[in-house]
Amino acid sequence: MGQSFFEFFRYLSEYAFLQNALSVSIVLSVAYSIVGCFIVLRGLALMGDAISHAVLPGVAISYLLQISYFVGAVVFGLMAALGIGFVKENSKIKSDSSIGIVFSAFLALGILLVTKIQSSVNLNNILFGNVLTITNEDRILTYVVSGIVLLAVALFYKELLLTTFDETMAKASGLPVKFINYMVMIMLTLITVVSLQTVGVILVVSLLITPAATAYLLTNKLSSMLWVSTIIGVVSAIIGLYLSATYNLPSGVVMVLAVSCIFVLVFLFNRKTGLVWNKLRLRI
Amino acid sequence: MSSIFLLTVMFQSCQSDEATIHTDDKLKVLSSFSILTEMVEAIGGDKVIVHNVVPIGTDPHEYQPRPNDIRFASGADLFVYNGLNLEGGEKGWFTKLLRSVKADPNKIFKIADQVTPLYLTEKDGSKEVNPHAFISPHIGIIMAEAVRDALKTVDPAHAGFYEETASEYILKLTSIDKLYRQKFGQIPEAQRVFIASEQAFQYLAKEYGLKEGFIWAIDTEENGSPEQLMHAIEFVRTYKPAVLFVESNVDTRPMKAISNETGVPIYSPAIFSDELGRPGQGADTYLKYLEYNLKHIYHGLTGNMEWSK
Repeated sequence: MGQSFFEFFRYLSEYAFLQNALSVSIVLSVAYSIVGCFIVLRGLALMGDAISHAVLPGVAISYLLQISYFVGAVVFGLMAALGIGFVKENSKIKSDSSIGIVFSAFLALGILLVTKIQSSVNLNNILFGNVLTITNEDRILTYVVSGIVLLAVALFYKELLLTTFDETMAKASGLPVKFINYMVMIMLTLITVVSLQTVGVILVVSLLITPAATAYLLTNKLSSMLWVSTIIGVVSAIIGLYLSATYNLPSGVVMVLAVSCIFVLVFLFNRKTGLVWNKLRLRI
Repeated sequence: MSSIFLLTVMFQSCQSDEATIHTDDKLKVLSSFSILTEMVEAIGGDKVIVHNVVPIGTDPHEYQPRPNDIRFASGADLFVYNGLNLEGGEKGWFTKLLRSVKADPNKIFKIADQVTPLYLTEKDGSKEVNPHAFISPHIGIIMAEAVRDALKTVDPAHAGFYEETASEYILKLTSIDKLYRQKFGQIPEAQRVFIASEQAFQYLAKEYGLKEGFIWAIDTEENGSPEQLMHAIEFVRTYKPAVLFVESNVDTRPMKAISNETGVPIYSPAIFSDELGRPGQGADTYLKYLEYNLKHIYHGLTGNMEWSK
């Protein structure tokens, strides 16, 4: 283990693509760990999954129009988010069904477009992503988008906090609740779309939700939840990349497994609600 | 929730009545992919109707046949495919397609049957046959002969015609083969270093004396793992190719990462490996495809745009 860790540093110093992958993973994991906290607290976890799948037609259309995939993906991600809200608010259909309807329709449309365009852009690359081969433009895009999202959280921290925990109270005190809700959706879409490069459609939601959910088990305050979530996110990104480089494994998948392992450990052993402690307490 | 893999198109054999329509006396040939299709069209001339299964821009290694393919297949007189695992081998989609229409084994021809296979570099020692024999013109000749023999076997009435068109076609291939030898022969050995994304150019590299580098062995497997990238970077650092080539049907990001890392530029335009070019790209027939690749590889390696036949 020690030796392979040494080897990892040797690889890191030798190969720029690994350095890039590491910096992108760290920046992104900070961003999605923070946004993830609001997603988890607001009960929007499935929304993240829905958006990540719903961007597919946008990616295909961007390819067709020869524009950056980012634009198309964001447009379709937002359309899906708004569509889900619209169906829910204008019928008696509940949010989970509404998510299911909208996201699968978008996904099917995306797959149809990808097969019709017959682009050589491998569907696999969109579905799984590969942080190791991220281009310079995409890397800079990731930094910029993550920066904007983090800045937005910092600027509207109080508003986010209030609307997340007590929407009625927030409304009563004159906060633009709707605006804040839209902002969360936009942040969620942006962060999902830039993460496509790193982990792909299928695994994005795990990195978004799991660090935040793990932090939720460990903390009682939003500020500490944000910190803990970020630490978990960054640590699992580093561990994931390290294992990926050392044992030649696909990077995104390993990152997801790393963060999932951390979750399982916390779930079982945390002092507050951990399953194992509770069982022990019962015995005693 | 992410059950995308279940979305694979269901294509249970839809044997319709129109399957057996014989509107004309042309031979109905089902061909697995663009290069072979064009070859059958060139040799079969107006005696054949060829249905191409895998469209340009789609990976021939993994493919889901569409209703049209099944419909044509159920009335086809001849089935040709590359073999050498290009269409997924024994358990691949082409075998399934043939089985679903209960194709007569006497009408099925593996065109690369007479090709001596080369094997992909696998780290774990397992041998996997490299399907991309057709990239090299010397193999194109063998395949053209096989197409000719297949046509003659199922349509003996026009044997003379096929014989004639094929010998013309093979003559052209032979002169392209000569051109390959001549052009690559002119390049000093240290400069004959070629690298592309997939290890598809193995037959070509071996026959014409190029040193071949690659990122991944075959498109179907994982592309751009850390080890693959490091290997390719080491290759570039050791053998110092003049340029890096990308193929028309691959994700260019892994090669961009290598270009970034080594400072060696990526050659543009893309060359062709698994498929012909679309109309207008200058590689829409097999002969043009061979010439196109030679022209651009030669240009990339030498920096010499001078191109005279």
